[in-house]
Amino acid sequence: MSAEQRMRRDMSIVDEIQLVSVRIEGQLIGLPITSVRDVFSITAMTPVPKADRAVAGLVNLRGHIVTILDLGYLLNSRRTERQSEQEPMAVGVEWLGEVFGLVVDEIGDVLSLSGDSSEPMPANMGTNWARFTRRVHKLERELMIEIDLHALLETMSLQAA
Amino acid sequence: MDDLLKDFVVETSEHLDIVDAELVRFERDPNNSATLALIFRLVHTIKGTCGFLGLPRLEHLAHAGEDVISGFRDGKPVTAPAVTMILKTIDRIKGIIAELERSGSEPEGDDEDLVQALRALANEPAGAPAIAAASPPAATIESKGNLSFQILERSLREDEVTLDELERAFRDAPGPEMPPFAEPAPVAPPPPPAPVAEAPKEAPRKEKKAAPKVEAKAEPEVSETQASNENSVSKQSVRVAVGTLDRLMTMVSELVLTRNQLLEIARQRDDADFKSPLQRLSHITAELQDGVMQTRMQPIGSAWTKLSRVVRDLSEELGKKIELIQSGAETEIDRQLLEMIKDPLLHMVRNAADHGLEMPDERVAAGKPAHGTIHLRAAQESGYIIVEVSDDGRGIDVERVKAKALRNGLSTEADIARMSDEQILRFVMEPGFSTAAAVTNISGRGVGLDVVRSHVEQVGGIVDLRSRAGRGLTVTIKLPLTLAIASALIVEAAGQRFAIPQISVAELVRTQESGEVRIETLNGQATLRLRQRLLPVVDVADVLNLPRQGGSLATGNQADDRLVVVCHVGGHRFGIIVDSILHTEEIVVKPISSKLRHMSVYSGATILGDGSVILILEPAGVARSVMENGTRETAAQSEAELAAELMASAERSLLLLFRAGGANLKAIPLAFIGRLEEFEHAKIEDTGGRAVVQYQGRLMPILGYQPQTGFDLEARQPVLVFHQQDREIGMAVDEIVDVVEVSIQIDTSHATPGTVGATIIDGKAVEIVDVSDLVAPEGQEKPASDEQVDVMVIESSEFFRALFAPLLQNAGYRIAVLPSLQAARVAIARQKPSVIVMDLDQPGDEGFSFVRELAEDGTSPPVIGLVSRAGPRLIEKGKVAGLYDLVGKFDRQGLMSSVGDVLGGYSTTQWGAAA
Repeated sequence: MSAEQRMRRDMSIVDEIQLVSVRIEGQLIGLPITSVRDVFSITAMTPVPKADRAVAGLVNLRGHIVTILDLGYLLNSRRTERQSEQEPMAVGVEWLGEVFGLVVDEIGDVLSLSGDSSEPMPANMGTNWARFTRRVHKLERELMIEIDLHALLETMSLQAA
Repeated sequence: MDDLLKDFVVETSEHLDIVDAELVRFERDPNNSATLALIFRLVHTIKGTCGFLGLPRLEHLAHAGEDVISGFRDGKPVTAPAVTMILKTIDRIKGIIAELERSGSEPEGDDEDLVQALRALANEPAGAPAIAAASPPAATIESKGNLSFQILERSLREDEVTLDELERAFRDAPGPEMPPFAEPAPVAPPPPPAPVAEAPKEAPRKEKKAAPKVEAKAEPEVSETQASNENSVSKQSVRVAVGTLDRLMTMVSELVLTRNQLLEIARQRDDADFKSPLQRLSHITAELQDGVMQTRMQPIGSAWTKLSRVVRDLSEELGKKIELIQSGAETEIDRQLLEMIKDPLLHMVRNAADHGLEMPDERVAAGKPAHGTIHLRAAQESGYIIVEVSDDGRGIDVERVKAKALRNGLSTEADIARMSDEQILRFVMEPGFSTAAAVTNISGRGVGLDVVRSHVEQVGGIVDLRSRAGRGLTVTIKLPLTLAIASALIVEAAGQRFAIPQISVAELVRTQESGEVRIETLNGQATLRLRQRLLPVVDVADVLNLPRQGGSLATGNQADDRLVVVCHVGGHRFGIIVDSILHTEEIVVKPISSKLRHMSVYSGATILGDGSVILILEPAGVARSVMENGTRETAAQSEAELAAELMASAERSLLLLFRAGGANLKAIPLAFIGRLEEFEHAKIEDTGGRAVVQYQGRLMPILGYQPQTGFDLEARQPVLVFHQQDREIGMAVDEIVDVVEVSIQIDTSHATPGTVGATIIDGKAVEIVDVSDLVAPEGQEKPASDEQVDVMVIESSEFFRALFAPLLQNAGYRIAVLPSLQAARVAIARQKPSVIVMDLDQPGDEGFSFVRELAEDGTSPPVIGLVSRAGPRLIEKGKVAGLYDLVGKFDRQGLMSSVGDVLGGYSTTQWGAAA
């Protein structure tokens, strides 16, 4: 992790943080807006045979090839089933200079939250959830889990290697 | 670092490279005054600029070097030690420049040792023999001279402006008088004894070693005198940062993509207004692409300049005389590619000089000229760059490579015996081949060649070796013109498109079931018979585990029309089966995501004209993934493969036709043959009246072998290898005729001892050989009729009874074979088989009702059904009836793995390991 990223992360704990809210299998999840580059719908996706199952495929995003990752698989270790009528949506995030698309079920608003409303993850979450999440934000209606994108993407590369 | 300094560093590095190359040429041809003038000018420029920028260490060194060079200009003999000294100085300057580039300032340090040695050279009287330089008088002169500099130093330092004037005076002055005018040492003068001690230490060592060479060199090689000297400094050029060019290239790549997309749209619409400007755009884009690529091109010679220096140093070091000949140095190559092949090139040249070329006396003894030649050749051929490094040394000893490959377990003896020398040589490039032991065993060749290969393959190139024993080795590298844009073949497999780089494609072949070119299976592996050669073929869909569409025919069995892309990578030829070949396209290779980079089957991805993303297959990776798994795959076939094979198992079966002991054709179902091998007659030995041959480290008996008499020991004996439980058994045949796919209708009434019957193939009677003796362990008794058995086979056809019994026995099962359902009903109660294998090709529905009967009974063993054709409907029906599994009659492995599944104890691994 670069010093800059670390600093950003440390600062965000005290300061207000903006999260893009998405929904995966019903769970509300927040992605730090600083890493989010894009939101797009996945049209023609090319599967990558024999690749890690978390890799959903490759898409052409305005002339760039973006690797689409199944966020649901990364978190729940199972492939998410989706209705076929709807084009799946993806959030483009940048990590170490590379753009990845995370498939999500639904994309919501950008929420500004302060560190006060949050708590560390409860101990009874699954291992992947505990590893890839930073904390839980207590919203009025429900809980939102803030994802640690760096941990998520880094762990994936370790698995791949 | 300020711009001025940056420019200086760049410029000086270039100059130094030229000096390096020129000096080597100069040493060979000291009478060429043009070369000398060029060298002098370069060194002088360096010196001048250094003074201007305030770089005292560099200036000091360059100056000392210049002294010596100007001595040459004034007619001093050019000696090897002198050139070595200057080259050494240039190396030091390079070191300082590198540091300068890194930190922006000259590193701390002292060059007094070099400067003293250079002065010693410069001071030595003209015409004096080289060795005299080492003598004490020279050193004394030098130390004296040094003292006088000290006095001069102060006065000169104060007036820097006069440097140019001094320079002129210095150049005009005759040699011996120069030192007093020379730029003095800016560093504190060394204590007086130091130079005396230092100079003799440095000089004599160099001199003595090189002394015998000096004489050889003194006779100028007149043929080289005419060497061109066109390296004119005045070129119409502009300096552009590499980054700018790279950005341009990226943009042009994008432009090409967009153009492709537009063309695709235009293809679909018929809009004339749109078409003509598009045509123009397309044309301009192509030209722009060419133009930008041109800017990235560099003559390959720029990578070679260093090599001439390396060769010179090596020849000095090794005491060999080496001549480096370059041709095609002007061949242009992408800058990025050039960077990537610099190291491999260096490696190859080093290898050639170090290990390839012999010592001069050895060479003379072998009737070759005393000086060895390394030939660098570059050319552009049919869209690729060919770079060749050849030497006229001893070449590679193929026998030693063979021995080494066998020891390392890279191949079997029988395989090697069939390989061409070229194929054997390629082992040298296998990773791990060049171990320390190999250095002595194969005369050191191959050190790091695997590294060369991996480097070159990384950029999509190909390495080839050609060795002529005793006459040298040629290493050829074939590279794409550029990395960014490649021509690729777009293919389709299981509904998904892939790109295969054209560079590795040798040809495209359409196979036909009954045509000349077809796909056959050998031991479960698909092979392509192409112009009398067998190539391994792999199905992309299988390699990538792609789901098949619409129940198309599976691999492993003969399919009708298939398309095969024959690839040639790293000396291996193999075929890739695809469903269709769409077109070729110039693709812009984009690196694959870091999350996928570990997958060797892909080399990148690209966006096609229609905007879709496709993966670029790496043929070498595809092949590797198959070759490595080869043995494993046959052992444990996945369920999917098993199912696919079931589907494909038609009533037609593959028969190997051969002749043995007579003109009649004989046949054996291919499924029962482990391998086909050929052995030299000389290798087949006689032990106690039985013919045996060493095979895979063991003795294998060969049945039916007629000892060869007379002179034909060189000829090869074709042998069919059968696998028994834990060993192989060979059967000698006269000639292997063909593999045919036929529907077998065996007439068992003609069965004679040793055959199970006859059939008609192409209008000719063919005897089907009874292989039960071959594949069944000798001396194994059938169990008594009321003993418990593992497997009960119910099969009405005598032919198949003869086939299955040995198969199962062979795997170690106790079996009972029964000809009819009636007999089986009685026997099941007594013999309590653990599994029943039964023929379902019974008239009517009798077979299935028997299965249902057993299934309802509840206590009965599982039943594996045998059918000649396992269609999907049949499989469904079998499932309903309660069958454990359904297997094609000729699917040996399918049957074995199914039985293995039920019985648990024995699995197909036994077979797999043997296969």
